[in-house]
Amino acid sequence: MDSGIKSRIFDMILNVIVFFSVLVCLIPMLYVASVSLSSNSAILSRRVYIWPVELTFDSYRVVFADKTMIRSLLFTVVLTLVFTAMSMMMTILMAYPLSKKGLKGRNFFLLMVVITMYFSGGMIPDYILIKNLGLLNKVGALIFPGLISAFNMIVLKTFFSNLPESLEESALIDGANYLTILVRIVLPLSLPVLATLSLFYAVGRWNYFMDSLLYITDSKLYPIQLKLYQIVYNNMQPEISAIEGSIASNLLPESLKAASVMFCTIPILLVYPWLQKHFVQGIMIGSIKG
Amino acid sequence: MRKKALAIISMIFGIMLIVTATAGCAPTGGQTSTQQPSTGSTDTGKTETPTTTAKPVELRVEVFDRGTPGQTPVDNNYWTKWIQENFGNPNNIKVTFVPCPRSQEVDTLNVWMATGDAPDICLTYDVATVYNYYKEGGLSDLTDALNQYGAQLKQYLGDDLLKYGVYGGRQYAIIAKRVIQANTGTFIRKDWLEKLGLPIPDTTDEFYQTLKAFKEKNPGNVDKVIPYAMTHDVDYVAYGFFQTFLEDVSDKDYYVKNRLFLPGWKEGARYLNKLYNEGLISPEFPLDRDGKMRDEDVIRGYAGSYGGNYDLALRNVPGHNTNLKKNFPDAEFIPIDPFTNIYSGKHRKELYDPTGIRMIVPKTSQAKVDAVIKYLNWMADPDVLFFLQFGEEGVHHTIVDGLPMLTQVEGEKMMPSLQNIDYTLIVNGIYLADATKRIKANAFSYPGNEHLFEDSYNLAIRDGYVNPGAGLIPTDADAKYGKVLDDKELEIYAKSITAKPEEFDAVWDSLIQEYLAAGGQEVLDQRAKLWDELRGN
Amino acid sequence: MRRNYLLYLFLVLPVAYFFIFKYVPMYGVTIAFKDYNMFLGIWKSPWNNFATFKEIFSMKEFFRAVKNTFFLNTLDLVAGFPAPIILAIILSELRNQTYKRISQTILYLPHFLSWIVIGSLTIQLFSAQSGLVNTLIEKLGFEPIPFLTEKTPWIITYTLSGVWQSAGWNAIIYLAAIAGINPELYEAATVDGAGRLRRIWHITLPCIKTTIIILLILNVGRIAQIGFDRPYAMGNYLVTDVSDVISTFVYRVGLRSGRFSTATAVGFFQSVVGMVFLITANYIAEKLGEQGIW
Repeated sequence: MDSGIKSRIFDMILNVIVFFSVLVCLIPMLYVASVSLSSNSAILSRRVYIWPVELTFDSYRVVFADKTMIRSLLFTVVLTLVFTAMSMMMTILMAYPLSKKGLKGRNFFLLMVVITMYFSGGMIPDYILIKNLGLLNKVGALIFPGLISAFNMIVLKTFFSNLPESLEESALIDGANYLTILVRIVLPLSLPVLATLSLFYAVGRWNYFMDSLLYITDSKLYPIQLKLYQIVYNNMQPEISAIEGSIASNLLPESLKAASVMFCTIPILLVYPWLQKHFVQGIMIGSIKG
Repeated sequence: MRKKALAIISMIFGIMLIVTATAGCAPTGGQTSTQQPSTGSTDTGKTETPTTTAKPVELRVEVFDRGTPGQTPVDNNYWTKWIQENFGNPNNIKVTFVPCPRSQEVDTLNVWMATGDAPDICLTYDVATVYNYYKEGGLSDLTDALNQYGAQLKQYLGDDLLKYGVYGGRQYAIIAKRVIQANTGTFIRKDWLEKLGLPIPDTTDEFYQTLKAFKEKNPGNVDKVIPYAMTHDVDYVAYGFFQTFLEDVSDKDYYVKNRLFLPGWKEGARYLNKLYNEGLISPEFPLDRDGKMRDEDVIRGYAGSYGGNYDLALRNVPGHNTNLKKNFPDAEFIPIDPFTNIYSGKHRKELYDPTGIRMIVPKTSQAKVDAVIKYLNWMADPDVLFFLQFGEEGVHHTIVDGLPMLTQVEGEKMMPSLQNIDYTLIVNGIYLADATKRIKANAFSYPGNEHLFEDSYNLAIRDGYVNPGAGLIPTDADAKYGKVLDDKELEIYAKSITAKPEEFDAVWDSLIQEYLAAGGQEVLDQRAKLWDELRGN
Repeated sequence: MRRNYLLYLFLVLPVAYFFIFKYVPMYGVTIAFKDYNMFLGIWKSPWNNFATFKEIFSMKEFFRAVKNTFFLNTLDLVAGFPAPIILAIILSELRNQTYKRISQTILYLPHFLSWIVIGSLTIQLFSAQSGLVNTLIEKLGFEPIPFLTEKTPWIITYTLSGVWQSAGWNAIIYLAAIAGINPELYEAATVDGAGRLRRIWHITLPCIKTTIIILLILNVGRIAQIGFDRPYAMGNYLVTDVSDVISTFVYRVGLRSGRFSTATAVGFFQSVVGMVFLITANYIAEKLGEQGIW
């Protein structure tokens, strides 16, 4: 039945659709990668397509030669890992109780969370809070404010509430408490969504640097994205030096912008395949029954 | 079961506590937690005893951080130490630098001011911001300190310049001197002119004929000819076309009518519309928001001429001449100044006003105004300025033909910003005591194009004038609608220039009405009122 | 319930987080109702009640921005919401696991390009004069299409580029949902004679229905909010009538020199509208028998 003609045609159509989608997504990335490895004049002469022209590693060389870059990269990796672990922990701690329809006060808490998705104090009260908590210029300023994403929490809560109640009920009857159920039953069954949300948190933290711009003045704590942004911003120096009335300097070329994009993307490319195995279908099966 | 549960819970909480504790304390790197960045240490091997036994006054100075790769920390390096040694120690002042990312200068400043965290000396290029702070009572009065401790500073800057920082009769901002007031320029392909045997155009009409010749005869033999390459920033890059038709008006009118309403300005736009419809201008200029499309057209050899910053063709980045020559070895853009005003015959153009960055002292730092002025005053010493800008001879610069030429330095002694502009607060641009040398020294910044620099500069200041309204405090309407109207103006150019010639008037007039309704009328009215109040008639 | 104490214990830290980091600073919302003077601070700045709102509502450009925001967001929803779902289903139906894994990874790559980069890429591809796509179109003998300089083509370009950028990434959550479907269901259906399409329709979709609904509600709730980068990077002065949205409007009007009141007031307006949409969408979903947020 599955190997029938209809099924094979279906497969072929799917493969074709996927192939074209992949092409459409891949080619621009190849272009960006090529630009990061091409010479400035080739780029501006529009001779670069999907392969480097006049191969130069200058942009990467500049980035890697700067020791603070490497340190910043390591710092960002550690920051991202710690942040993701803490965020996931907090999100799980919140999503699980709120997934229990019978819990008293549940609706209140949910409303409280939803309100924060829309209303917030803004840049200045946030800054004052961070300052008063003594977190200015500390790693904590990059971890605590964004610790729980209401969006992620609601998604997780939904997944939890979709788990078959029978699993938990039988465990409860056996005398297990909620902590055991959470750790032994619920979490193992939720690996796909946990992996997804971890990815969301990790990528979110990896890419975001606006908070660093505001809260961090110690350059040792600059995430790698911020340092790269600075470099690219300096690339706009012709305008700045016009305003400043200074002379334009020996700046880094167009390819640097592209190199910084590659910097953002490559780490995630390395991490993702490792997470992918959790998206294999049927992972829920073989679960604890009864 | 219970025990295990408790064990797990306490482990989780334990981990979180530890992480919290460490996250709240030392940042990675083992630095002791402190709200202020590390101070410039005076560890230079010299033992300086302060001349008084009083506690040193702390002076916090903002410094831009441009994130230049390989830079030394902007708040603790060779230069900050030198400053502390030569200014701080003799005056019993501890100078601390507070970094601010250059890309966020206004936002960060706003937050600092709003939360009372600002350094003693704050910097900004945004004049409206400074005025707003003044209006809201956020700035310290510098007048007395300036009179008492700022003699050298006052002499260096001059009253005309300092006036830009006077509000309500008192000095609230120190204004940096801007050395180069040259603003816009025009460039043309020398080799194309030579190929067609044409002279360098010297009037607007000659320029027009030249553009037509470029289009018809394609001297570069390229697929696409763009005689005049333009970006969306029309009034800036195509300034000459507008200047051609401007009538002479009173200073007041020039300030009030703000380009769009000046008699003759519309004619400039009409002329551009004509040129556009004849195919002489970049067909998609409204899309070119960052100049990249123009840069590409220039480097690929399509563009015959273009306008913009007076030194644009000479710069290393985007490297018009440099990269163009890689594709076409005989090609070169040279500076020209063809636009002549039909009334006066002059090659009129607007210059930058002589101001650079603004230095302000927040109200919360009122007690430090003396230290501030002393610092800036010290900086006005020509030897100090020279060292900060050029460093040590043989290390940071060499003397070529009697002029200092900066050399690339890496490592500990490097300058995080060119000519240390982020430390030399009181001047924007190369400053040499000898005025004749000042301009020439700039040529070194354009390797490969030095021979073109003096021409670019001289043409750019020929018949130049500063907007008579420069330095006036912004009106409320300006502060409120400024950016909206700037955008609207660019919209007017985009739509009217690309319209068909017979539709030009209709498009222009209706968009002008929208401009007026979006706050433009208020700006006109308030500017007129302000002028009358402050300058008489 | 005795056991419930654990659940409340779990909630302690998260609730503390929300209280400290979200609710404590929330007094900043009052800036929308005050004449904010940054040196007096938020508490001491004088109230002006709804004066800021009146000022904003009197600006014609504000209403144009609101209209464009809603229009573009709705298009995004219509085009961009189904795409990741379809993509996830297609991917999960692929036989070759390696092909599936590699494709999945490549498909989310566009998510990592900033809109500034995408904006300049679109110019290189779609500009009527020099864009690659139009060069091809011309070679085929057709007239170049003004993808970026005329209103309707621009809207289409804007929407499709948004789909391209986010479909692969947004598909991940649906892939996670699909991964949780019991394979025995598929086996049973196959035995019953259901073909591929019917299996998708009767098993895959219903099983991920809750996920779809909740994401739909959350996205409808975002209809009044719009990022800055995308409309700014993709827009230009010839299409401002359709490309100027609330975020670009605020950027021009609100944020210069401390005009925080305007920015906050507009944000407040967006928040109220957004929340109304969210609650309405949730209500409709629950009335239809689906599980909403509550």
